[in-house]
Amino acid sequence: MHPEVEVIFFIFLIIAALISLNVKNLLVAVVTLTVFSFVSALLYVAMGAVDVGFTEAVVGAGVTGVFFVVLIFKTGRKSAEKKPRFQTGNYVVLVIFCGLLIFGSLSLPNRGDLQSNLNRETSPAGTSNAGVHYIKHAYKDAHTPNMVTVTLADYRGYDTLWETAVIFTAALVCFLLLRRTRLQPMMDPADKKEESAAGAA
Amino acid sequence: MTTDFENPIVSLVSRVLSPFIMLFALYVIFHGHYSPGGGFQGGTMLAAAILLVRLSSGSEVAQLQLKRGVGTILGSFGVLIYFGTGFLCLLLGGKFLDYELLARILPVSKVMAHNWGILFVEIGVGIAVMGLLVAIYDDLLEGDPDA
Repeated sequence: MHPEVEVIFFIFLIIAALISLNVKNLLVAVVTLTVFSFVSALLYVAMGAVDVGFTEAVVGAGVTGVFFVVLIFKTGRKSAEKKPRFQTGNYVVLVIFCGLLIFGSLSLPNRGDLQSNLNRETSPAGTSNAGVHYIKHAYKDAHTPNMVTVTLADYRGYDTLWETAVIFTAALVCFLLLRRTRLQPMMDPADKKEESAAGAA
Repeated sequence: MTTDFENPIVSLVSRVLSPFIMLFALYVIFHGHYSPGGGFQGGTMLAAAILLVRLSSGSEVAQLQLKRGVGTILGSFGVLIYFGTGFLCLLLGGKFLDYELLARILPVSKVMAHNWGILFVEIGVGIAVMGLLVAIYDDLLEGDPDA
């Protein structure tokens, strides 16, 4: 991939993030957040992580926006009218933190650098790297050309199992917290009338 | 989730588009062995196709596509498929999620049993993710008159 294209993607990413943080209309904020997710999905694809990009496009740009729209529908459309004051301290902390991050990233190896320790066949200690083992054995072990699928569902099957359990738990919590109307018919109508009468008295 | 006016173009396009998104989602799930994608992505796309109709036509009309309580049941069933595959391997005398043991009940070689095991697991993840995402949406809009 050409680095110029990635620079354009990054500029779009930052613009979308700034707009979604500063805009008053929350629906616009959700839409720009969706744009943010989609541009980051394009960036993942440009970096060669096609599976991750696919997931980001489907989850971030597809379903998360819908849930945010539902929440706006249930609450309110505008954010609170409060003029944010320009606070110098916040910006100083922000600049220092950005500088630290950039300083830290300078010592990372270049992307796709064959000479870096991550991409070599053997680690500095002399043992063979895990990634190389998976690349060499994935097709032999499972007859599946997409080694990301083999890693997710076979070599690292436990991780995917508990990820599914995590989503299940999230849905279960939503079910238990939000489903109230289902329980109401179990209450006796006579009790209800007495209760409201007592409340009125 | 409808507002005061219903746009016929939006509701028609979403109803026509939804089955095609589902078809592509099934392709993503079953072709995950060869191309990018898999259970999670395909399941999310299935959920997106269902949520599209729910958003554009309102929850009442969308009951014709998938009923309210079904999402939670489908999600639980999908998680059960994943755990069931693991326990099946355990029952066949191996380790948990050791797909090699599936060769004892499937007429395939030990290596192809891995392939089949991955397929079962991906189908389980797909059904689980689809059901649970739709269930979360339905729970959020539970009891809303104009949802």
